[in-house]
Amino acid sequence: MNDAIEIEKLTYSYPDGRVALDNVSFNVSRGETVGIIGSNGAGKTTLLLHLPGILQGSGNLKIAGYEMNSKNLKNIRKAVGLVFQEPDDQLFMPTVFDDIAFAPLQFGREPEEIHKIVHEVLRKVGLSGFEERLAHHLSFGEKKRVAIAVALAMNPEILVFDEPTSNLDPHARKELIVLIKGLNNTKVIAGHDMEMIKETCTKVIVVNKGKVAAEGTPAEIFSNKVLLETNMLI
Amino acid sequence: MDHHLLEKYNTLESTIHKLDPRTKILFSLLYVLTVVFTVPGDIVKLGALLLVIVSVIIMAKIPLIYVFKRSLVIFPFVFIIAMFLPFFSVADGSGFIELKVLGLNLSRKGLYIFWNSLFKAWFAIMAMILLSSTTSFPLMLKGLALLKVPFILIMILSFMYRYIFVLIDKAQKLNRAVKLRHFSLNNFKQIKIIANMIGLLFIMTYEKGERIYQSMVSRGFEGNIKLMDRLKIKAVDIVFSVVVLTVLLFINLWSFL
Repeated sequence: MNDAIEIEKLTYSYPDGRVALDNVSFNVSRGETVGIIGSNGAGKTTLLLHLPGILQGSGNLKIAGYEMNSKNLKNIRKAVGLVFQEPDDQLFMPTVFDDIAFAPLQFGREPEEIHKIVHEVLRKVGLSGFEERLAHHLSFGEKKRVAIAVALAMNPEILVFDEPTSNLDPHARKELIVLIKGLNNTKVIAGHDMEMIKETCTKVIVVNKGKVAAEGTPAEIFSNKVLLETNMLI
Repeated sequence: MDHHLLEKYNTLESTIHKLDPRTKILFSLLYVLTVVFTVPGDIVKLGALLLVIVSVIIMAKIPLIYVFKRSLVIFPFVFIIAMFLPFFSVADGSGFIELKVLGLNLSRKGLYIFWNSLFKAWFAIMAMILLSSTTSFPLMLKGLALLKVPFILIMILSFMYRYIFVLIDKAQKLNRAVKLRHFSLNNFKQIKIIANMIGLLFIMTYEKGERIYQSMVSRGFEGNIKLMDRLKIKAVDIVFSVVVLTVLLFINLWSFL
């Protein structure tokens, strides 16, 4: 069976010429949870934006069995649910229902099915009954959960989180970790929250200045103080 | 700004709140048109129209005093637009009123049109306040979309509604940061800081727009947004339509009977 994500020699430069990703290669097998850690500006978000093909650098990407090209883009976007760091960027519709229904609608699902989907994903993230709530009346923690519900709406094979626990209070953070652990999709989680990565991930990739600096199990990576220090993680 | 100003009475339970947004939008328009086409000086008709709007406001359980207070906002605009009418209106035989103090002549006809437009604008704004306080903004947008308002306008309004609150929060934070560091500035220097703030806000919104676009693209956006129509015309809409239509027709045709 194919891996969920296969990235080979991915290189990407910003429009101003600065290199953001330099020869990045790694694989993620199905059902695995992979943490991507790195200091600010290491290229984590840029890397994540390549998974649903929002940014397209050079190199070979295979996501959920689809070769990355314009023909497969639609299928890839169906297969990847992206949870942004800032929920206000992700939730752009006035009500929670409309936000969750957005992706299923664009992908041509039927109205009755969409009602079911919205109900189901809200239950999954523990926000049943939030359908008609207005996005700007939600607390930050609730917005984060709705953002996850939005990503789950297409029942994606791969879930991608960009710093899921940032700005959350300790209680909301703990609940969110429980929620993430409870999802059985293949997961890619980027972040600085080492405890969260340790708790949720089966594999950790360290990025530094756009390069993969190390790859290993959480136990290997987090016990290697020299590695963490040279990559500005402690 | 109070975030909930727009939505203060949106969540009340009343017959009017339960109506389909399309019914409310159409009847608000119809009401405004009736008001606009009323012959100046037809006090009976204007009185009847006032009675209509007041009774619907009472039906919607919205405090009258709240609607009156908010409707005051229209007067400066009407005043500026209409204030010259009494001075420029051509004499039609109704004569002038001479203001001895200022040496100006006011035409009776002009004054007549002036207070008429004042009342008409006031009635129309009350209808709009009623509409916006009984319909949540998302529902209003859905109603407008179903009434075939161009889709691009609906999306612009939708994004505006979603992000105006985010933007206000940002502006408030910036303002606080400025206040913390600059407490004794004269007005000129403040203008410079405000200009910087506006520039900063513009860049922030620009970047936010880019990220929102990324979020849309990752969720299957390909240039056309499909929306879902979750509204249904109910019995209450039909009853309301028949009643209000009869009343408005009666008011309009009164003079011919």
